[in-house]
Amino acid sequence: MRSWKTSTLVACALAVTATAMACRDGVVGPASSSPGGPRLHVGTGPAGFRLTGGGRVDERDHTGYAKHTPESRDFATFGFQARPTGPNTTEGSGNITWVEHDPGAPGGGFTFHGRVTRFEGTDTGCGKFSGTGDARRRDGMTFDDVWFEVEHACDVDEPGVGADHIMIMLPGYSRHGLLSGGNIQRHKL
Amino acid sequence: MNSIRLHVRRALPALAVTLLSGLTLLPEAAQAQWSVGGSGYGSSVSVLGTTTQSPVASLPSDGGYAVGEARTFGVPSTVAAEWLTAVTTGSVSPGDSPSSQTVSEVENVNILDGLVTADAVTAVASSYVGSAGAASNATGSGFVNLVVNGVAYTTEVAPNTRVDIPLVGSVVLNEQIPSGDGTSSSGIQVNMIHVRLLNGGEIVLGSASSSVAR
Repeated sequence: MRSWKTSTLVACALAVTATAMACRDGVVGPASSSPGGPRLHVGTGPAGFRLTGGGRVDERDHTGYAKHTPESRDFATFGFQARPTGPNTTEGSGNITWVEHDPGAPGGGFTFHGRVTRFEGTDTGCGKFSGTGDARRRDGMTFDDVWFEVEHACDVDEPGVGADHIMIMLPGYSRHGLLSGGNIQRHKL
Repeated sequence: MNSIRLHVRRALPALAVTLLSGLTLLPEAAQAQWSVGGSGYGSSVSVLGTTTQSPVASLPSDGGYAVGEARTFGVPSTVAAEWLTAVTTGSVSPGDSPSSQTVSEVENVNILDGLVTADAVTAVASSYVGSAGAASNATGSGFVNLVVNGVAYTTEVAPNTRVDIPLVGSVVLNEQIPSGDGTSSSGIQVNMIHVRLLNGGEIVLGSASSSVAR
């Protein structure tokens, strides 16, 4: 079972990062290491800033940010704070809550609470952070120590709707796009 | 001409003193500390003098992160709901733009035995300081498959939409209450479903607030 999950995880993650679409066959379950594949943003090492954010993402790419129609549950909401533990380190601290409402997502949707252990800046001035957390799926299954990575969280403008963007990856799941609600804010350390 | 120069010479020291005085005051003015606020919860029911509320996420005035959630919430014959999650984040630091964001959501909502139902209710409140000053918005707030008194809402619900329900009371949908002067302060309170009963009771589903101020 574990090997099936792991292979599914890697296959989905590769597909996700390559095509920027969510993999709906995944598990949002435990994974001890991050999936491979190309990334949209490259970490550059220690960051001289921290991030807070909260809001909503409806789309799965960066071409639009319209809120979906009132019969659609295809959206996610989130809130986070993340920072490096010091000025010259990629060790991180913070928390993230991510709620996926899409019934087509792993488990019919889930609530994820993650703890940040790594934080770095990207070559585009965004933040990239990762860690592990707990996932509670809508089908009743729960998982501990689930790996996650916010591949990028970018503060582009105020307000953040239609400008700021975020991408999160969990085992068998990914969503990224421009914010359809809320804001991401970059702060000095 | 000489008189003018004399006046200028005499005025310069005084001007310098004034400027220096101003400069000494500048740091104090610039350091007028911002504060942030944020709060969110899934459901609150106040009937017959008793209030029942799901866990609240409250943001400290200097920022941070807080979550309040419950797997289920119920008050018999009044409210049933699942997956209540409220998260608020924000930050403030000297010389930096403050911000505050709160998201609250509830799924599988049933109020007053089917009088109001929704698959999902999402409240988003966001406050920040931009080039034009402090501002707030509720963009991103919404319903999934909302039905009120038998009427399905298939389009976006405008802010502060009031629906009167005979013999029961009224419902305000997407209730938005702004605050602040838009320069040094701004805030917004969002209550996605706010029922006011004829007997004085109140039911709120999907509540989020955010604010920045100095």
